[in-house]
Amino acid sequence: MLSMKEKLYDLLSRILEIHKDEINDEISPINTPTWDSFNAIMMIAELEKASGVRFDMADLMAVKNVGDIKKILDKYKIKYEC
Amino acid sequence: MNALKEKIISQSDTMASCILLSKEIDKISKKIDKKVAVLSNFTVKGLSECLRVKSFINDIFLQVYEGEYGQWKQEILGNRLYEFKPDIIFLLVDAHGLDNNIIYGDDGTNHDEIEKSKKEAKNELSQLIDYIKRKTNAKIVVSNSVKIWPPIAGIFDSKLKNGYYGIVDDYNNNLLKAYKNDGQVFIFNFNEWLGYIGKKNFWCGKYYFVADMRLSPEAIPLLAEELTSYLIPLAGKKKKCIVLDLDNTLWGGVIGEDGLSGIKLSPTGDGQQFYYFQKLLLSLNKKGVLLAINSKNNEADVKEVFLKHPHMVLKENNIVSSKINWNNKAENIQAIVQELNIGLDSLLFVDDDLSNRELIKQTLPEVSVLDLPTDSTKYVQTLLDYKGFNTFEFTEEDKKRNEMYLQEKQRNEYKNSFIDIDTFLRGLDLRVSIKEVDDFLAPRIAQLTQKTNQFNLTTNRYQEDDIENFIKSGNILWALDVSDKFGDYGTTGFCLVKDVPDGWEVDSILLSCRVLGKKVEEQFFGFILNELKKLKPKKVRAYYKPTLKNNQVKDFYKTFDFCKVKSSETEDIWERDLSDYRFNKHDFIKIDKC
Repeated sequence: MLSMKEKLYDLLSRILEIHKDEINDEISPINTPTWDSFNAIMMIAELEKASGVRFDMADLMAVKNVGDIKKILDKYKIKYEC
Repeated sequence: MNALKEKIISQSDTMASCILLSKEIDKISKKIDKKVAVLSNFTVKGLSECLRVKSFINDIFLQVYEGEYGQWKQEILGNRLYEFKPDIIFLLVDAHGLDNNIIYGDDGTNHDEIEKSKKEAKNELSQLIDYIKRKTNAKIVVSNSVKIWPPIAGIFDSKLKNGYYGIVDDYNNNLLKAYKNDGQVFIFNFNEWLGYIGKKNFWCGKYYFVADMRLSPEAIPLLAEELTSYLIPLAGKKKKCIVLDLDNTLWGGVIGEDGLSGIKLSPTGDGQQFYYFQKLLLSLNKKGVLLAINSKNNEADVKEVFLKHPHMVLKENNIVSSKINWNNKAENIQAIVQELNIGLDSLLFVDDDLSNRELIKQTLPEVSVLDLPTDSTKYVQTLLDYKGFNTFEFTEEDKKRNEMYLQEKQRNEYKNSFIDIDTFLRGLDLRVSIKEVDDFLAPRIAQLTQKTNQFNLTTNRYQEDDIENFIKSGNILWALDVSDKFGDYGTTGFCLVKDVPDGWEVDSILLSCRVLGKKVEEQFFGFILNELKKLKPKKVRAYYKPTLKNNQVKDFYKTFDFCKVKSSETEDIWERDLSDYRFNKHDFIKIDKC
């Protein structure tokens, strides 16, 4: 089984087309041109599928970078590191 | 290619993975089988990639044109759509997007406004569809409108003069009625489909407010899969025959162990799921899908079930080929396609046993395999969800198909009882009727030129209007009808001869594989040569253009004493002078000239 962190990094890498090693908490739409509105939607859909959680709109609005995504996973008590 | 197909089958469930997989398809092939345009009044971004990926599973390569966001009307009225030359246009239009009055319905004060909105929504859409029809012959698939639950007026909606459901139902019914008899326009019941996958989860949820996506992105791969129902018949990838296992597929249990009274098959209680699965198979059979059996069993046990079990829905006369033995199932499938003279790629294999399914997937990758779930109560829905039997038309041929194949089976049994072929043919009471092609026959002739591969000397493919043009410009077009004591084969042969200055030129001659092996091809062409001689006893030039499938006819003209005057990789040219031609008529074939 992949850990949530691996799943998250895997989907970010696939959708944003960046290498897993380059992903850090500071990755955001500002420094990553592939993080456009359409890819953001796909990230949500993939993350919901991987985690089994349905995020609400406020969660989505609060995301400004990868670090924020981890905070939301924390909020739903999803451990992203096993 | 098969590796990518496997990968797609297991991974194409999200939009993000479809987008990546679509890029992988680009890497392995630049092929385009069909061009698809998608126009919508709600966001379906990503549908293009999903369509390409889901079609690839069915061996169809697509190029997709996605209309600009929010501009479906401009797209229809502009030129870009038509410059793309689509083969099919998906018009996904939801009435809520056409007018807001529709969703809020009657509040007691706005009756006139609603009447006006209803009319406008209907007129606008039909005008746009008619405009597309004037610009292209592409198939047009129009979605109906979604009805959401619950209506704003609640339980009183059914009492309102213009209740919400009343309005949307009217809109949907009008759409259905307007195009009922139009072969170009098909109505996609988007509302029912969305209900099936789940409106509560997939329609106007969070994504609508975040990104203006009425249809949730999770539903887009599912929509693409559903729309392959139109792409499969469009690309000619329809399946013709279901190859069925028996134990735990057509009935519960194992006949060899449980016995006639022990197997589960009943219209009530235990065994119901198998009874209704057979009902579904029977209904497909009536629509022209052939059924064959491939089972490891003792033939006598199975015969007993077919003859004596009170609840067997399928009867022996629904089955065109039976392989009941202890051979491996791949060998049996080979035997079935040979017997029925159809391609491996026109089969669907249905078996509850995973190892048998794997065997077929590995050894005969052209065969489609239905992944039956372990739970037999899900068989019916699994087969219903399979898209490969969809069709744009239901022809006389489809209605008669089962009967025709059964007749062929009887013929073969009859044939096996003879030692020499002429005695067999003599006993068949063969009758051929040769007639000139008229406009009435043109659709069937065009279909024959499209479908015939084996006995086809030049494989020239023609459309209906090509045939009509040949008739108009004074060429000689003959059609062949064949029947025997077991039944009628219908129009199964065609020959097109052109009048050229130094004699005649045979443009096409073909026979459907159903009538091969009866020497009617010799009679058909012999008769034609004789007629040509009467008209003008000069030289006949004929061609053989080799393809992967027509090797059996490469020396056809030799039989008629033609000389090969030129031979190259792409064609052989044969010639013969008609002045000394004599027609050898077989005494066992009767020729009616109409």
